[in-house]
Amino acid sequence: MRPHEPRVVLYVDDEPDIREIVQMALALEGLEVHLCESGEEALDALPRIRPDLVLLDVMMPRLDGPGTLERMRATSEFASIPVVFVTAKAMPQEIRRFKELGAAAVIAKPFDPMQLARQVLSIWEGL
Amino acid sequence: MPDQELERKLEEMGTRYLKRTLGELTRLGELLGHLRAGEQSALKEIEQLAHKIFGSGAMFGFDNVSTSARELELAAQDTQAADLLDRLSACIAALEKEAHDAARARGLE
Repeated sequence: MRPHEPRVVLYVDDEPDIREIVQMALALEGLEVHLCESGEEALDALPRIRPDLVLLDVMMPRLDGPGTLERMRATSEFASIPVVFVTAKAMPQEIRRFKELGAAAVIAKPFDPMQLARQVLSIWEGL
Repeated sequence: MPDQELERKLEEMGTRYLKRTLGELTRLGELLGHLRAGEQSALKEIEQLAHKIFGSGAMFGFDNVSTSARELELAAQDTQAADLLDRLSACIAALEKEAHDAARARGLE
């Protein structure tokens, strides 16, 4: 059964500012936040971190968000971890495509840092 | 009081972002010079730098800085435009104005 709240969250983004904002916003709500700066690093870190939820930036150099999700889904151990894309590409047809790829939800960039924790928790509740 | 603490931290980070952006404007000017001198790789760097300024700026509430950076990013993507250099130059000047306005509003200048 899913815990009432995600305890451990992994955020993956190549932008240091945004990583820091997410870390602050979610940690202040009591979540344990881990940060990675690339899809490759996230895939390496998954066995160690074992997150309840993964937030993935879409546009990253080399392995992007969708590529990272695809590799996660191909690994039985991590296939069922819910993934949320965080992206500036949040037009309806793009959101549809991301959901088809298996994303649980899409958070549009720029997001309001003050609302992020609430947004993440509400996505979690809707899973 | 998580909200107040987050607000305070965001303000600190926003100030740091603005100072860094002012430094990056110098870099953008240099890159434009390289591009004028025929160094095509400078264009990609202008686009990436603009994308970064755009993405973080809006998070800190610097909407005008962010919008200007987005326009610069789009101009840099339109690589076939005949007036590419002029457009980049105008976008960088507009971004510079917005960054200085934001810095003044924060009491940094």
